[in-house]
Amino acid sequence: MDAVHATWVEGRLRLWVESFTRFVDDEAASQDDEHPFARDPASALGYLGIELGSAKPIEVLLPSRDSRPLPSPELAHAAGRAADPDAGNEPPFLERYSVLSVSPRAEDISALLERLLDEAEHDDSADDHAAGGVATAAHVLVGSSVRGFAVVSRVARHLLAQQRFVPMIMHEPGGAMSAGWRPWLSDEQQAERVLKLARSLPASARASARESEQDAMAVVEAFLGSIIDSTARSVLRAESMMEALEAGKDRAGADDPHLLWLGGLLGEESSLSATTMLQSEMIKSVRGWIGALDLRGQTSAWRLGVRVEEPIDIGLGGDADDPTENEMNWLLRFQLRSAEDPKISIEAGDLWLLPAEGTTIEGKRLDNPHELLLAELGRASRICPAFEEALAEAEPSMLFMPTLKAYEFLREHRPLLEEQGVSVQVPEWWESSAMRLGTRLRIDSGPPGEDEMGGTGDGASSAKLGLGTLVNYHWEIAVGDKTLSLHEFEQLANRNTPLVLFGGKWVEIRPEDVNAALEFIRENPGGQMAFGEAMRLAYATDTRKTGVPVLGLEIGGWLSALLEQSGMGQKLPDVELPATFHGTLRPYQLRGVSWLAFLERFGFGACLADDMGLGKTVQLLALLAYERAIAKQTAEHADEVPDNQVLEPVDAEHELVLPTLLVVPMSVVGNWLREAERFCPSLKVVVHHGPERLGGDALVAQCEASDVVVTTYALANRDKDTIERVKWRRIVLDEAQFIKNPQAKQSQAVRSLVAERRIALTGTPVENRLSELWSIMDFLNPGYLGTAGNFQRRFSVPIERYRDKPRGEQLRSLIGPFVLRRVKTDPTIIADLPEKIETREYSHLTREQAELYENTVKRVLAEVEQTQGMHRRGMVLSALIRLKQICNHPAQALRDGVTGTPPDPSRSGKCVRLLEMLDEVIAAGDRALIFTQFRQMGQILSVMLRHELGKEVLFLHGGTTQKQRVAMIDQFQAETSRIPIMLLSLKAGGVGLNLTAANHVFHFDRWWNPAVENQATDRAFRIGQTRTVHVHKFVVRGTLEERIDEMIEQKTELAESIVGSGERWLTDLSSDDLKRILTLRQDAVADDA
Amino acid sequence: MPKPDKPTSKTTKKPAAKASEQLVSKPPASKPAVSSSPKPPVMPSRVASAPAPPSVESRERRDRAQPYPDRKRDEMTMHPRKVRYGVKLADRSGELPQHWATQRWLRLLEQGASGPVMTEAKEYAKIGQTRRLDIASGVFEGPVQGRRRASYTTSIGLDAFTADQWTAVVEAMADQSIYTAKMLSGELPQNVEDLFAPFGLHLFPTELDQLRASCTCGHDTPWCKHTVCLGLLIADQLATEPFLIFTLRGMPGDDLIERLRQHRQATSGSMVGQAAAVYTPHLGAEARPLDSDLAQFWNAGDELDEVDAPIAPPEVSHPLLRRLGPSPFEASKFPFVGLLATCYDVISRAALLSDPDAAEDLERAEAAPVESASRPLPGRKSLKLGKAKAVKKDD
Repeated sequence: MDAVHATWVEGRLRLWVESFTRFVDDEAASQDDEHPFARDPASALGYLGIELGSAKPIEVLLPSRDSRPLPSPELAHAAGRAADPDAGNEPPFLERYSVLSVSPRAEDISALLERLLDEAEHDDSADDHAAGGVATAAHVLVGSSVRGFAVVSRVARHLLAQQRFVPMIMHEPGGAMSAGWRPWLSDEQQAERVLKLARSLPASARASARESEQDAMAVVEAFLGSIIDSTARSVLRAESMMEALEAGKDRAGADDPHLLWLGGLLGEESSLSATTMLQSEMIKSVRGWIGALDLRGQTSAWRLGVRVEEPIDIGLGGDADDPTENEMNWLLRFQLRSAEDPKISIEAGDLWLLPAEGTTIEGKRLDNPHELLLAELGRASRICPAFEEALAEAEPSMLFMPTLKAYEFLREHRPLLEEQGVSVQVPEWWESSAMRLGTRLRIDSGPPGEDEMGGTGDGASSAKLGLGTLVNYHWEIAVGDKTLSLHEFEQLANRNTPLVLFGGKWVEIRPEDVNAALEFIRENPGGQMAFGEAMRLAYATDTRKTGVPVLGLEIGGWLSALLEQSGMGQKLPDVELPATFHGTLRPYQLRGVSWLAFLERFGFGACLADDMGLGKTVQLLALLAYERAIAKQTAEHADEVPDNQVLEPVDAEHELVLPTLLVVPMSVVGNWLREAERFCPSLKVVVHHGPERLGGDALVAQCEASDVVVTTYALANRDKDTIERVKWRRIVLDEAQFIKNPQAKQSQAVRSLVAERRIALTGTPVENRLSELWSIMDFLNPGYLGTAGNFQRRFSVPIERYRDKPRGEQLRSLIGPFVLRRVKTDPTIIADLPEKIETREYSHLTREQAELYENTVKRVLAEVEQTQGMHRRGMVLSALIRLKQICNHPAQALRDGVTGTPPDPSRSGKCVRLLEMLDEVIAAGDRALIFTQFRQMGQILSVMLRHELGKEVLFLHGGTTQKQRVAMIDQFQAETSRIPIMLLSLKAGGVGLNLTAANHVFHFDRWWNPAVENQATDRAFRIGQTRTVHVHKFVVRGTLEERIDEMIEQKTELAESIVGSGERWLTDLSSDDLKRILTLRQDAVADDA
Repeated sequence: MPKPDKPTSKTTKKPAAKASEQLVSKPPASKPAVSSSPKPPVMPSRVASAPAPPSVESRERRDRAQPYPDRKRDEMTMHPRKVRYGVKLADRSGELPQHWATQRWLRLLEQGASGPVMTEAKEYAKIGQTRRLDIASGVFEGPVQGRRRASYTTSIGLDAFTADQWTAVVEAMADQSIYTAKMLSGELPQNVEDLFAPFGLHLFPTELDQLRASCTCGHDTPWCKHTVCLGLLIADQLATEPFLIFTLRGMPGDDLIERLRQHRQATSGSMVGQAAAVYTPHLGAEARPLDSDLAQFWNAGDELDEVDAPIAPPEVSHPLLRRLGPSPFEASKFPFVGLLATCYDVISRAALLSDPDAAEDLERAEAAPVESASRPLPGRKSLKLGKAKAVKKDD
């Protein structure tokens, strides 16, 4: 778990490594300036198999306290420590350290950085404590500096691909001259990228002891330059470009400046041999030449603007006297536009009325406007010679262009002009593909009501459902949303102009598109294909594959509703909930149920990915109640199915609906049972887990006799052979992100289970966690997103690592119909939500916890029989505390933690659940408060959470100084805070603080006093809070926690005294009452073993 | 490509003397070797920044030079005496630029200079026998060092236009903003002569006898190697500094622009404006000292996640080359830009291939039957072709 960092030192990128073991062992440096816990990166990174060269000491500046460097947060969190325990007191200061570093060759760097990121991402998915997947030991932790340089190197490759680099000649120190390839970063888009990089690159990336290497912009430029020059050279060498020079030498002479220059650009050797005179002449000329790129009007506060106006179709249509497109004139209007605020502009026509010396327009000074406009037009005319025409007038303000010229302007000159700083406004249709020639896939799925309506889901008809459904398709030539007949298309093509008036609108018809479209239609006459294939063709096809743009998908027939509802599920009719469902759904929840029912009906797997707290469980329970009610109703009135019953279930003739298999993490089994009891008591729910669980035929019989079988991911794998024998109506995965590692046995087992209907529930933002998304979609609709490797290459890497927007759009279109995700902040959802939502989170004891618990109870019950009075009270009280500690984590009760080793969350059911929930909180960008009444538990949690989540965790307790408190609160409340979690001991943090940055409050253990708990909750739920606050109260099933919680909830007489008196009342209970409250129910134990 | 007029701080503005009254001037030793005196040059250009000032010694020598040197007392050498920091042709190989103004001037000189004289003159111009080049209204002159100890006083004169003529031309010019526009961006429009023709004027001399060459070397013909050498230097400089022709005709380039401006103001009835406000784009990120926020020392900023960098071919191929235009070394015959275009293509292609996703697109594009006409990327085959083509002439 060493942490690797990258720093630009002495003109090279250096990798260096903090050693985990040396850090936790608190080793001392052997020499004063030596970093005490760095290690040789050559050995730490040797496993990568990339040539790293030998290690070399470099000098870096690092934040320090007491002459010791602070660890990186990655390393500190891995060890469960705070990155800077003294944050909030005196600030740390920079000190110089010597660390061993390696410096790979420039051409290897991109690959190396990518590899490190791959490692980090891979570890992230394999290292999941709860997934139980193949947990490979993490090799290295990757610091932000590595991520930063990886993005810079990506930008370098972007620049290379986009041809954004220039040949240069430079003076070397010492008077020699060299040639090289340099990134060209002055154009707006590139400048913006580079500025973002420079602003976001962490200080650790530029922590060189040399001051000149601490400037972020200089580091970014130098690193880009080194990659671009070395990559360009190695490519040109591989292509033997030098040979091209040989032929030239005979003609041009050996001291031709071009040949000299190219000699330094194409080969390995960058230095040029030329006389001093020629050198300075060459450098001057080259600078002047390259400098022309920079003449972009950036020297002026105003720039040229060009607005392209299309000719209006004045023809009445088909009249022979109408001008043809080629005869029409396009109008280019000139403006000057403020460079600082592009909204401020002045039309050239008005500009000539201004005084020549200038004026002020909307607060912006404009000097010599006439001259400026002319100079700008003159500049632009170098790129677009047509502008010279306008300049033949004394006061140019506009320019007419025939259609062909206008097309050339739009296609060729516009991008270059824009790069040169001219702002060009084009008609809307030009930028959008809406009015472009392309092809559209038309699918006819036929009317609903045949197979789709009447099928029973078994055998033959199921093959026709879902993504495998065969649909008739054919391709159409279309312009925007209008379909063209072949005749119309030929007419368009025959007009022989790249810009065509079609239905009163201008359309770009590229000559290459015309041929491609014709050829494509000829080669793809249509036929039948699977619906999933059609979706992929329509949404994830590259133009390059078809030769023409694919403008989308048109669905006729019953499938059309699928696309229409894509996204929010709003267009579907709401289902009617039966009386067997006890509860009221919020409007969005009802939409969710309707959506699930709709997708299932057509055999599609559905992913309900609502934010945590929006009630996924209850939506699924409502679906189960609904389908049973409909089945019953249909069975009763088999002959009179109403025509308007849109959401007819497919099991019409079955009186009995087959059982649903619900696979959940151990930690939420309790929740499901509670919620099912509460909302749907008529459902026969069976839990398949624990040592006493059934097996073989008995299990099959039990399953078949029930409505819902709840089991865990581990058991779904272990008892797979038996579970497979049951005929399931559906399989539901809760916390479906558990199968994100496709290689894990559990994921494979779950995916191989057979059921017609598949539903996945998850609260994580699946669209941002693409490895999860793939696994979940592959479970729901196998094969739809292709193989995992393909998906990784096509979508995950471009989108997650490099923010590829078009790819992201493609993916969203693809998954849109099958994923329903509502977020708390959605305005339509917020309206439905109360300001505060309280839920109880039920968890189980682990076997270790259960044994400890039972032993303690046995001992207490035995002892209370023999003691009296104060002694008995004291003994009961201490036993209660111990039981609560056991419920929290065995380490709290046993005090068996090992220094330097973060506590293992899997020893506590509560901790596992907490981590799962925090994962969702963090993924959603939310912040949480966690209250515990034990300072010691807070300590354990702070170490555990830092280690498991890799995030900073604040811990406010009785020992926190006033100064630290203020600092912590400021840190947590800051808008830009990177600290998602604050732990508080109930006594120290229960009152007075304002922590409205949090919208989740966890009560990890309970005080049994609603007033005290509410006070704590009010740290977040108070004035200044703008979001719904989610309050999660943890309860361990089958233990005293659940008993007492029930008593309070039922407002029993006993509870009255409870609320008033803290926990003292318990000490007065009779031995029988005590026994009833304390004794562990067997179903409380989670046992996957 | 010349840089546009950027008034810089070193341009000392003073009331413009009537250009037509200016005569040959002798710049002080600290001035650059070439000047269109008395005003500093229109542009901070290559012409203006010759490597080093002439030595005091050379000025003295020139001052002592007799109009008709006594050959007996003067030592003759086989080769011309070496001149340090002389004015040379921009291109070291002695090639003159292809610029139309240069070529026009050159054709004129060729009328007067016989083959051998031209060859010698070119050699003189190439190795820099001219100590200094002074350009003023109606004349350019300079000491040209021959074989004798004293250099010759060499000059070429031509008629400057009168103030009235210029007024007419300026009015005509102002009516067509292309002239102002092109000149403001540092360019001399090729059809500039059209503007002078209506007034019976030629901006460029059309016949040799419109030039009055004179040299103190004593040769019979005014077109000795020294005057031709001087003419070649002017021709050479016209490529980079085409406005010199206006200076020679009595109206330095920035005076002309000033006149154009005044004319425009006269028509709109307002006063002389100030130089355009200089907008400095915020290209340099503000400096963030390492210790500015040590709590965030190890953390990347949020903007890192916003940096998108698609690996995709450019929208228009060779965007920078297209904006750059022809190479700076106009004299070279080597097809530089063509070869660079090929370099850009192979580098871009390699970058696309290095990205598995982009590579897939690329392979598909190359396998596709339809040629993607808008942005051709050389495939392997066309790459070879590109190399062969690389030897074609620059455009």
